[in-house]
Amino acid sequence: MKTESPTTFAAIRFTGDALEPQRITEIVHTAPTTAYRKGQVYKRSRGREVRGRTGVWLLSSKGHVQSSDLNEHLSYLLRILFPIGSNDASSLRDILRAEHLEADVPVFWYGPTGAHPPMIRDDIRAVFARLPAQIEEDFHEAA
Amino acid sequence: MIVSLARAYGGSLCVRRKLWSNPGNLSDWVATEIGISREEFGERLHTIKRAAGLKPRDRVTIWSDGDITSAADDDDLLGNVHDED
Repeated sequence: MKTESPTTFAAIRFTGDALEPQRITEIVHTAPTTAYRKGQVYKRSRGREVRGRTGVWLLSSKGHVQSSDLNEHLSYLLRILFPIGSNDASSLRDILRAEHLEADVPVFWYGPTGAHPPMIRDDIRAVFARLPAQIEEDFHEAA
Repeated sequence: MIVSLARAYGGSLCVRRKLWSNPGNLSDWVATEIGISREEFGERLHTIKRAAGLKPRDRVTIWSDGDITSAADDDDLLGNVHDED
């Protein structure tokens, strides 16, 4: 179904062969949208089974944020990673380094014809860069 | 043998066909072939690649039945776009 307003969402994702999903969950105090260890069989939406090529822990803003503003989706993720009063990501950085994990932020945006792709705020980019987590853009415009 | 015959006759035996395994942006006809809108297709493909640990620019193979497999291995199933609604 085509929409008049943009469709957008974002996720924070941790990946790596040594990833133990429970350890990430314990640090961020939030249940993931999808998580599995390398080699583990996980289920997609209708129960189809897929084997994990590497370990993944990801939390999506989809279903948690209703806005068509991508920055609001990214802000939601930052509130999870850095709760109010906390500026410290050392626990996450420690596990990323110790377990050779990577963090990134896949973002999706699909806008109507003529819409301008979103501009991600510099301050949001800067906070994700502190993990470090690269924002990976997947932007599309209706033909 | 059956698969080869089906592919030789353009998939008329309802065996899945490889629609896309090229780098770059997908053409609209891929979504049309699968029977969903370009928006839904893009969103679902993003979700499957994201869950598989792939980045948006990573190549995959898209099949006529909606299966998404690794670009390097046709048997390495990542998901199916019809499962993601």
